[in-house]
Amino acid sequence: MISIMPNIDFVSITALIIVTISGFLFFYLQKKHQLPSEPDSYQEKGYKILQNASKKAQAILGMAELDAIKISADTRFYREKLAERFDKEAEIASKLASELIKLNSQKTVDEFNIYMNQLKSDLEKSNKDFTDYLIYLKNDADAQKNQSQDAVKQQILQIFVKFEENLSQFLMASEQRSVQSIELELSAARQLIETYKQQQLKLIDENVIAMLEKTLSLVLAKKMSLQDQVDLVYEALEKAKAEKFII
Amino acid sequence: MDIIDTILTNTYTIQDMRHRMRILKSNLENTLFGKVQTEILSSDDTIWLSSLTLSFINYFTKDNIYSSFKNIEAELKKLKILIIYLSFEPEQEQIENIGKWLRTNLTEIKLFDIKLDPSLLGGIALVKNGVYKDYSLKSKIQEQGEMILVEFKKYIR
Repeated sequence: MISIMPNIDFVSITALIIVTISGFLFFYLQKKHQLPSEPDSYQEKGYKILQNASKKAQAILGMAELDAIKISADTRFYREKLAERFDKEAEIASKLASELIKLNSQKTVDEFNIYMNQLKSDLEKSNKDFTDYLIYLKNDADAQKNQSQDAVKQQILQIFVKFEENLSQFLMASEQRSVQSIELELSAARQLIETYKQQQLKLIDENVIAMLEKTLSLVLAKKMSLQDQVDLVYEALEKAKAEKFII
Repeated sequence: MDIIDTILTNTYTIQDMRHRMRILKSNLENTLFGKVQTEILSSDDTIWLSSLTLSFINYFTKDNIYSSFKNIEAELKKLKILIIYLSFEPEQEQIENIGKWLRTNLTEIKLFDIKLDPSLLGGIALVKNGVYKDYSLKSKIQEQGEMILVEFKKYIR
């Protein structure tokens, strides 16, 4: 980079300032630590030194002023020169920048177009992949759905078959139990009827015998003679003797 | 014992024996103690009393009459009595015939008791030592009941 600032002697200025401050400092210390026994000699020496310092300082200040004026003039000169040069450089830079921008923008547009094309193709590819993937997912989901439906149908069918089997077994068992129960009831009823029938038949038989006895008693009382009765008595006695019931 | 044998000679049933013991006692009391006869005796009773021998009558005295009768009754109670159930009311002749048959054919039975049971239809039922045995027509019908019913049912349509 080209320096457009004037060459200012900052060392000299600094040295001048330091010397000035040292002078004032020395003077202050002298005054503060002044010995009571020899005040005049030191005071004169101090005045002399101070005069010398003042002179030197004035000289330095004069030189510094000259330098400052010089520097100021140089600064003005260099500033104008630098401004002129800066304008030129700026103009060149502007031109370069505009060209560069032009070049860069065209390139960027091209790159952007390329990038966009690339991106478009990538997007299309991704879209296609995604679409394929979605189609694959859809097909897979359809297949799984169908498989699940088939499995559910199969399970439902098996459940129905099993339910039918169980229902059939239950109905058969119930029917068998009912039949057994009915058979038992029928058997009991038949037995009851048979018992009742036997009892009634026995009663009828007894009644028949009783009727026969009654009829015979009525008939025999009229038809059987006393001799016949006596004959039956002896016959019975003989039988009792034969059986040894009476001896 | 002669006294008991004499009493039982023509006496077959327990009723007759009790009756004859009573009229004999009454007759002896009249004879021995001079009591007035109040009971009117039947011809059978008179015949039986007159059939008794003098020695039998003389056995009884004023002193032994009651003790003798007591002993006789005790001895009579020891006799085995056969109870005969009849379906008809027998006459005295038939009772005597039955009694004679018993004494001819049996050894242990001296007296019997006649009871009436028309349901027997015919024949007799006997009770000896508390055991009942039915030899009546009714028992025969009951024994043959099954066969009678079978025959009877042949005519039932």
